[in-house]
Amino acid sequence: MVQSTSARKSLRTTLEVPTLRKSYYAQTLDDSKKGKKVAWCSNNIPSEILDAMDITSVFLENYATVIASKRLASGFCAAGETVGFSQDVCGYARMLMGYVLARDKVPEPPYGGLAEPDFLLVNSYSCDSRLGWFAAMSRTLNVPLHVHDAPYQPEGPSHSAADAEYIERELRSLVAFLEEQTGTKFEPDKLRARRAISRQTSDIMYEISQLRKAVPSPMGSADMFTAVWPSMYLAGTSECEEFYNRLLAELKERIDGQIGIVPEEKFRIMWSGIPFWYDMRLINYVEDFGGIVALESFYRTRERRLPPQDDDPIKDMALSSVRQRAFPSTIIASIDDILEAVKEYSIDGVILSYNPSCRMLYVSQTELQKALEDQGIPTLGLECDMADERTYSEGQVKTRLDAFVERLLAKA
Amino acid sequence: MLEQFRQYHLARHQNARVWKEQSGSQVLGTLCCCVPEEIIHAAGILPVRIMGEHEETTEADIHFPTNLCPYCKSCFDQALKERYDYLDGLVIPNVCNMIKAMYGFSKLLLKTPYIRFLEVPQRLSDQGVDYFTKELRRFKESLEDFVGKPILDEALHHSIDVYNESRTLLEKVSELRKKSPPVVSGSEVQEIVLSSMLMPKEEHNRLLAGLLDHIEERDDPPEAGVRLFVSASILDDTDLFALIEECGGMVVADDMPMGSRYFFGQVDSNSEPLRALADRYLNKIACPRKMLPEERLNFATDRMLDADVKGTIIHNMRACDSHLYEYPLLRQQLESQGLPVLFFRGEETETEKEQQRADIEAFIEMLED
Ligand code: SF4
Ligand code: SF4
Repeated sequence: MVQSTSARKSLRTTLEVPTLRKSYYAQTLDDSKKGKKVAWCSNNIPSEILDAMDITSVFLENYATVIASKRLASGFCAAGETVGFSQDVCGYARMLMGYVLARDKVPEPPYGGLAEPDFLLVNSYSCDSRLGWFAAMSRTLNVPLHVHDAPYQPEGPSHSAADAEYIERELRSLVAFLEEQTGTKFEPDKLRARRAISRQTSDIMYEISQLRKAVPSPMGSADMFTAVWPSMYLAGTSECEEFYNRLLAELKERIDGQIGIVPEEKFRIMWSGIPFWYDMRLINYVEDFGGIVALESFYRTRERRLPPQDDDPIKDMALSSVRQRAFPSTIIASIDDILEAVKEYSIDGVILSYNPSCRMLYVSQTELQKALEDQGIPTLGLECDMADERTYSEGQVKTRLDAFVERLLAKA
Repeated sequence: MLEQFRQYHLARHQNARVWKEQSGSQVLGTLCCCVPEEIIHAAGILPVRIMGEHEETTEADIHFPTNLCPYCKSCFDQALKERYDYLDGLVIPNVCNMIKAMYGFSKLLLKTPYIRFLEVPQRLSDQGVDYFTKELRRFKESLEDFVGKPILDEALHHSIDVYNESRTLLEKVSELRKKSPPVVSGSEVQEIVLSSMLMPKEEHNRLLAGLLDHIEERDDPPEAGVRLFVSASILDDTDLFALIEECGGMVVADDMPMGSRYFFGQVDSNSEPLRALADRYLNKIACPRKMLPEERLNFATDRMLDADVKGTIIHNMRACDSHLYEYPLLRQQLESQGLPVLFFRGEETETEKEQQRADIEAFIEMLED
């Protein structure tokens, strides 16, 4: 019997996600059977546009985390390695290349597998892996690929007209590609409606982020790593907005009733980096000692206000995108950001995951850890791939966690 | 004459310092081939390409985890060891994750006064050229502020001419590798290319033109070897090429950022200069971070035309994502053309050399059979 690897959740709203996710994947298979066009996408491809054009989107990084959390990654990774993608390659990409090119060698895929793609969409700016990975898939599957680009904006939000104009033109190219692939005309009204919902949802998410500062913590990362799913894959739908409304209400309820995650909250931890999907119970581990992983580096909504809604929904997306960058881009910004989060969320210690195959995040971890320790904030660095559990040693990790907990308790 | 190139490269830090002193001007370091050096040159500044060393990294290890591109790490290590303390500035373009990260790390940890990030579109398109043209204008203005005087259009046109001449000369000398019997060796050409990224361009052009006038009559031609093609994510010295020659091989064609990708394709000197620069630096540099496999692999195989190569070596820096994904595709393409492939995962350590020697010897022996 496969042991449960998922984290123990405390909020009833979070428990809705697995069902949402399952029906989302079932829907994609069903859509494909009915002849709807299917796009395999990387994260950050604006699903609202696809949705408005009645295209089914399948997000491969998400599917990779599903495989990993079912502890199937090693079989998929090994298959990817047989077709030439070395262990240096991002665990997610390696798994999916295994799935694509060596399907006879991978274990039974979750949710009955993926709907086959009519075309591929990748964003070029997040990491080198995505582009290389999607380009390799396009060539080997012989399926068209569209690359969506944007400026890197190392200094964060930009007010440059050139940056906004470039993104706008890139979005229009994406739409043109989709029109060509589907033979349907893009209708701005449909996107405008979804944008309005997205804006409302982002306001709710901001409020949730603010409420998570409360002591005792009303919602830890064990819940958030799951609860973030609708915002990433159901963006712009009322289903998504309603989900976060319920989540917000539940948080308020908990705060009013002073209900924490652990009976007596003794210390609060922040998780920096991608978690180890095959052992999410690790997030709960500290709860037995009165600790809580109260925040994760990714899913904090930092700003409330998007620029005023533009009547042209593509322009609106472009403007929001240049003014808001989800990730701090430079190490300087990352340090400022983590120190600010530590303060605002009353964090006592930080766990940093070092995922050597995800260079884009991995590269900063040593310096971040150093900056935190320099400020007297205890840290623990854990190194392992986020998906491929073959190098993971649960015992070793727990021993190190025990020592870390002791350090935090001694300080508390 | 060939020795002059080698000597310049070897004493590159000292040479840059002397140049600075004599000219009273500034030196800017650049990373990657997509920084249009012409604009820097037109500002009266000497652009030099940042290179690492085959030397144990110590300082960089304090700031970075282990599994990262050793070339980038080595460059940063050198900078932290103050080997680049003469630099007045650094231009860091939007290329791979590592180089992008270098921007923030440089601002955090180095004392270099001018550190400029250059946005480079990561996809080929018309809007990309438009955007890059605008970015180059912003870059030009920032350099004008930095040196305190305008960069005139005439100066820009002149720099484009100087660089076009350099690219023509480099293409010529690299084509000479293909001759049989050889008149210039792979490592000699590599030395010429590397020094061209360090030396003032006019001087390099003069030396190279002089060399090309007489090279065919040289009395010390290199020995012929098994003809090889090398594709690399980056090689910042001539060690691998020299090792190949020691083992009885000869590199007669390449696909490398500090090789063919650096000098391939001209800037249209009849167009508006910034647009012409944007066009060349975006569309002609065969980098897997911007070009899709189709065009990239075509570039690589085109470089081999008329080269009559017997085998190929692919050298990728460890953890270089862009090249890691391309590798299985390139390998398949080369093998389908009947070309055996030897693969190296680059570590930039002293010890890797001996293993490489054994592998190259065995590979060449296999090709000779
Ligand atoms: S390298 Fe990192 S950011 Fe890129 S696809 Fe892999 S996990 Fe995602
Ligand atoms: S070798 Fe690869 S990772 Fe290293 S600098 Fe070049 S492109 Fe970046």
